Amino acid sequence: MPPVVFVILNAIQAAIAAAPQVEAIVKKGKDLITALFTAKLITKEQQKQLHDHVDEIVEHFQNNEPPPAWTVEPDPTN
Amino acid sequence: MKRYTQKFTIFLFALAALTFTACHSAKLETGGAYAPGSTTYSTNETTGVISTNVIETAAPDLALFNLDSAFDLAYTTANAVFELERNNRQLLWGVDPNIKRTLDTIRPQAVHAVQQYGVFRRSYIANPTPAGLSQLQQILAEMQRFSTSAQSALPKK
Repeated sequence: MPPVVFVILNAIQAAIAAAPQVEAIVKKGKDLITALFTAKLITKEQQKQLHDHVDEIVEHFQNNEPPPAWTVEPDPTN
Repeated sequence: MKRYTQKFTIFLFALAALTFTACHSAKLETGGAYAPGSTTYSTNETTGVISTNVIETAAPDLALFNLDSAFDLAYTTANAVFELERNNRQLLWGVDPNIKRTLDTIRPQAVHAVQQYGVFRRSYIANPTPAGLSQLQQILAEMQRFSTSAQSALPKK
């Protein structure tokens, strides 16, 4: 594993410690990195997970209103 | 709050760098969503043991896998920023009203980019072509630009 990877992984560990609110995002990122570097073989299950997840996102945006966080809402009043 | 956003931003850029580095050397297991295959069965006449073998039915599409991976990351990044601002809107408005205003200019464009990615992805999957792949790459580049801009709108340390 290239040395730069360890530097980057340390940065990720520091981010995890400082940002518990985004644990789900960090975990997804770690899972992806582990998959890409551990065996360099993306398993059928990992492929399905990504494929289904992207399907879910794009279909939601095609067929529904965007999530509230993605819409422009009125400014705060004060 | 400020330290959190700085470390989160570092994490996201680190993740993008790692993903870019790793994706080019990854392999796809045959039979997966990006490497279609069919399973054949053969029986050993002596032992009766049934063996399975997965054969490729189409070339593995590592390019689409890489694009979807990068799209997922860009989407997750943008979503995290939009949600962070929305969940802390009153506080951030007090820090700087331009945070929300900046993100409000990005939001509709990011929605459009996600919708476009879905349209062209469906088209590419039905009929994979280099031109279709190029189109997806362009839309992804837009998504990544919006994600970066959204992150930049958050307050720095």
